[in-house]
Amino acid sequence: MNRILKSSIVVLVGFASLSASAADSKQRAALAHEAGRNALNKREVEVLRRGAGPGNGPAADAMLSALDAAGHATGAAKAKRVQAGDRVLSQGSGWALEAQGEGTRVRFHKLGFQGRGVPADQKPGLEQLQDRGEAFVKKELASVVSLGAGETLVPFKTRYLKQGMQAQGGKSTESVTAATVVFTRAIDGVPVLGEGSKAAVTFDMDGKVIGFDVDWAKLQRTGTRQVTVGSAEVGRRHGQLQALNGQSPNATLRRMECGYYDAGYLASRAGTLVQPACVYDEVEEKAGLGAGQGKFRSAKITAVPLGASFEADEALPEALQLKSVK
Amino acid sequence: MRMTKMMMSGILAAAMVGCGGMDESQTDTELGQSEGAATVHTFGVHATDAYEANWQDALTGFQWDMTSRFINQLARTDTNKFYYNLQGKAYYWHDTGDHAVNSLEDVDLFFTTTHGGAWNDSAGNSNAVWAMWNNGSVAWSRQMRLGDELTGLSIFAQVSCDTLTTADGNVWSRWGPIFAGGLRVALGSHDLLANSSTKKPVGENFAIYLQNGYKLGDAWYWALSNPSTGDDIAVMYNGTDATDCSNRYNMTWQNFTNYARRRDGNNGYMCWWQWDDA
Repeated sequence: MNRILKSSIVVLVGFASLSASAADSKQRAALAHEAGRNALNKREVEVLRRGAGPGNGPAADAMLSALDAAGHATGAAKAKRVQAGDRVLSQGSGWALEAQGEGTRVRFHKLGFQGRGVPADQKPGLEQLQDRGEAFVKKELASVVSLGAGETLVPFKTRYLKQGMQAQGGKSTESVTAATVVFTRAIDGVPVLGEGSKAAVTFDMDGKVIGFDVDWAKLQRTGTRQVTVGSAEVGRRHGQLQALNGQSPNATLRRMECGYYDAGYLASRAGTLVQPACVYDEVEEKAGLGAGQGKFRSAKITAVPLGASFEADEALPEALQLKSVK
Repeated sequence: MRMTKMMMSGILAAAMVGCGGMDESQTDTELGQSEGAATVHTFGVHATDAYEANWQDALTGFQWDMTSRFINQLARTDTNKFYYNLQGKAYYWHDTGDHAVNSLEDVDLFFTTTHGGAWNDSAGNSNAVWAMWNNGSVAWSRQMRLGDELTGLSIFAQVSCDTLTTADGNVWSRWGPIFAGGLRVALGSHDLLANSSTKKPVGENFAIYLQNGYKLGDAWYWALSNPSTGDDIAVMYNGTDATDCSNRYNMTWQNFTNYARRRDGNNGYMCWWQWDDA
């Protein structure tokens, strides 16, 4: 897990080297560095708006066609297809594809995957996954992941699947069987945080794609610009939100980074704004009451609006909260 | 003392109409029917979003959404036997009362959301622990044995931090007693799960994947997974040996009863799958 540091404005000095994890891209590590110094290195950014998706049926059709042609989803034309909740779920032999919401969230997975494992110190790093991942995104995921003017695809981080076992009375063994590279996008050089604007591609240890997870809407420019505040004001707003939410001011900060905030399909719809914000990833601990009891931990993610003047928007509930007490 | 049932079945049935974002014009009626005359299984839920006298931090308002949507979805194909809060429940989690009607052993699948941890008990043995609502009340894994009474629990799904941690090598201390009863799989986290409103659809997602024949581990992972948050999702099985344990990843909601329980002396191996940022 990531290194841990105390949450306060004071300790944000020197935050960069502590907050970046080995799984982070250089671009993401730089974000953490900048967050501790200036919040965002741009004093003004344009507000964006999520565009409409194609609908989950058309999104599924387009993706299945691309995956079938590329040999990733054999028998796609005969796949079982159901409408479940807000998604279309298609299943073939050993794989499943789902398109959710307006078709801006699309996920594909090989079911029951159990691949060859490698020792943890031999797992592929970001630099080994990045090119293959980017090629896959730009070719096979082109029907969902499109880049508008001023937008670039940016590597964000890696994730790993580990398989372990332990005999009774024995020692545990563990190996890495899959690796995921996660991309975000940058708009005019400002990376997008939050659950939206993410494209993740998962590989087995032989380099074959075994899944992907995309939450990607087209973003439209609104012409409205927000002047951004510095780290001191962000810290003040964060403290205000902690108080409003009954959070301990002594929470441990795992990461802070600033950029655009796209809440993703779950919290958004066509027209939802994408504004600048700083994202705090914190952990609270609270001890049990009995003698010798340990502590329960709780992870909390807070998106603090970064504009000197910002819009109240349902996809950024913290903005609604701060507006309510202004 | 038993707690008040939070959602009667009639209310539940009514709530199913219009919940979960179902588009009535679409062909969802096939959902869960693909296995032919599938066996109807049973499930129960315990949840809380707050704790007596704030002895633990409140969870931010996603628990009821998550659990009610899980029930609404899975009840389309299977039987929900109970939906309770966590008041006074340690007795019913422990072997003392887990065999009472509408307790953990009375269903095939038990789904819960509360704080979790990995603590030592007074004897110095490592336990997985879960916070109950009552001030200071905790369920301890070494006082639990699941899978050997009534229906016998098979699937123990917990949206809780830390309970499936393995890094300290104390897996057998924490989970040996529970699996000794024949539990088939534990679904949870080996570290942290973000306390976020975006967890609301997790229960519904999980139910949909169960109904559509996903492996239990896949259903859990894809229900919780999001590329941005880095949640530390984990699943754990047991088996007679390494091969048997790994093969049990193939269990689904439709076929799990085909996998014989590995109880007591047949419980020789633990195996796990963990998703991690590092």
